[in-house]
Amino acid sequence: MKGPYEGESDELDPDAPPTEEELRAAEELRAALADSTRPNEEAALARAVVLAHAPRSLSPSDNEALVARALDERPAKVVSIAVARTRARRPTWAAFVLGGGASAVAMAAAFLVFQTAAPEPVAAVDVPMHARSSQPLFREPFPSRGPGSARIDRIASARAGDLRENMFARWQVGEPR
Amino acid sequence: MFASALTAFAHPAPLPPWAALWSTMLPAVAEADASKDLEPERLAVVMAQRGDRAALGKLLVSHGPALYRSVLLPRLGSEAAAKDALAETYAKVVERIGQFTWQGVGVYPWLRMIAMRVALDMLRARGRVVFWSEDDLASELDRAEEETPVDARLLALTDERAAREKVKAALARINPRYARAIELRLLEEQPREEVARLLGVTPATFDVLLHRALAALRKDLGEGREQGMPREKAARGSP
Repeated sequence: MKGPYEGESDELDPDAPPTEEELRAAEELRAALADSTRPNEEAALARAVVLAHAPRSLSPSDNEALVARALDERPAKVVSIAVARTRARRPTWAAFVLGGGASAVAMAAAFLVFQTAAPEPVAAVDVPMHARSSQPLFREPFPSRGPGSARIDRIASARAGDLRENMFARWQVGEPR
Repeated sequence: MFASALTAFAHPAPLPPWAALWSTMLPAVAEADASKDLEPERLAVVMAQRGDRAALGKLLVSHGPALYRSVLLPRLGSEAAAKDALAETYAKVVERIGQFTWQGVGVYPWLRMIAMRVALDMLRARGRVVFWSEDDLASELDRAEEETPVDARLLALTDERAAREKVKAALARINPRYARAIELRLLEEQPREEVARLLGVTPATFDVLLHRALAALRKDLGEGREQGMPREKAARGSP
C-alpha cells in the first residue's frame, strides 16, 4: 500500500538493484558520515536534518568566548611607540666628537645634552597578541563552496602582523617605519 | 476502584492534540510567570544601553545558548555555521543595543530577530540546497515581524518544535521506506547493521537505501526551492 507521500509516480523502487554509480555514491556517503571533514552534500543534508530534529547545546566556554570577542575585551594593542621615540632621541656620538673640545664647558654642555636625551623609561605595556578566531576579520558571510584562498590570505596576513608585533614587543623596539 | 484508578494513572489515555500541545507549553508558561520578573533584565538592558559592557555581556551570555540551539543551529544545519552566525549576531547586538526598545517581554525576541536575519544572509550566501531554505526563513521572518513578541523560553520551545515538525513534514513527502531509513539511522542514531536488519537488507544494501533516501529528500527540498516558496506552502499550493 502506498502512503500519502507525494512523488510516487516518477520514483524508482527503493529496493531496486543499485547501479555502479549508486554503489560508489553510497560508499562515499558512508565515509562522509563517518568523517565530517569529507565534503559530501548528502552527508551535509543528513547532519542538517539531525541538527534540526535534535539541536545540540552550545558549550558555556564557547559562548563566553564569542561574547568576549564581540565585546572586544582583548586589551588594547600597545606598540612600543615610546621606545621608538626614545631611540630617535638618542645622542649621536659623531656630534659629540665634533664638539670634541676639551673644555669643561663643552663637556658640561654635552653632558647636559646627553642627560636630556637619555632614554626615557618605557611607559607602554607590551601585551602579546593571543591566538584567537579569525571571525572578526570577516564581516561578510563566507560561502561554503568555491575557492577560499583570499580568506586564507587574509588570515595569514593578520597572523603574520600579530607575530611581527609580538617580536617587536619582546625586543623592545618599535614598528619599522 | 482504587485498582482502576491506579491503572489509569499508570497507563493514561493519550491526550487529544490540543491538550498535548498545551501540556508541552505549560511548563514554559509557568516558568515565565513564576520566574522572573524581567526587571533585572530590563535594568541590564538600560545599563547596556548606557555603555556598560559587562551588563551587555551578561545579556548575551544568558540568551546566546538559546539563540544557537533554537534559532541558528536548526536553520543553518552546521555547528560551524551556527557559531559564525552567533558571533555575527553578537557583533550586531553590540552595535545596535541602543536601538532596542523594551516591550515588556525581555530582550530575547529582539535578539532572535537579529539572529534570524544573520542566518538568512548566510543561507543566501551559501547558494545550495540544504535542509532549511532561504525562502523558508524569509517567510518565518515575515511572520515574526508581525507577531506579538512572547517570552524567551516559549519562543525557544516553539522554534525547536517547529524544526522537528519541519523534519517530520519533509520525511512525510518522500517514500516511507526512505523516511524509515532516515529516521532509524539518523534521527534515532541506531547502528548501521541494526537498521539494515530492521529493514530486512544487508548493511551494504542499506547504504544504498540511505543514499537514495537522502537523494530523494534533497530532490524534494530542491523542488520546493525552485518554486520560490517554502516547501510546505508549495505542497499545499498556497499562493
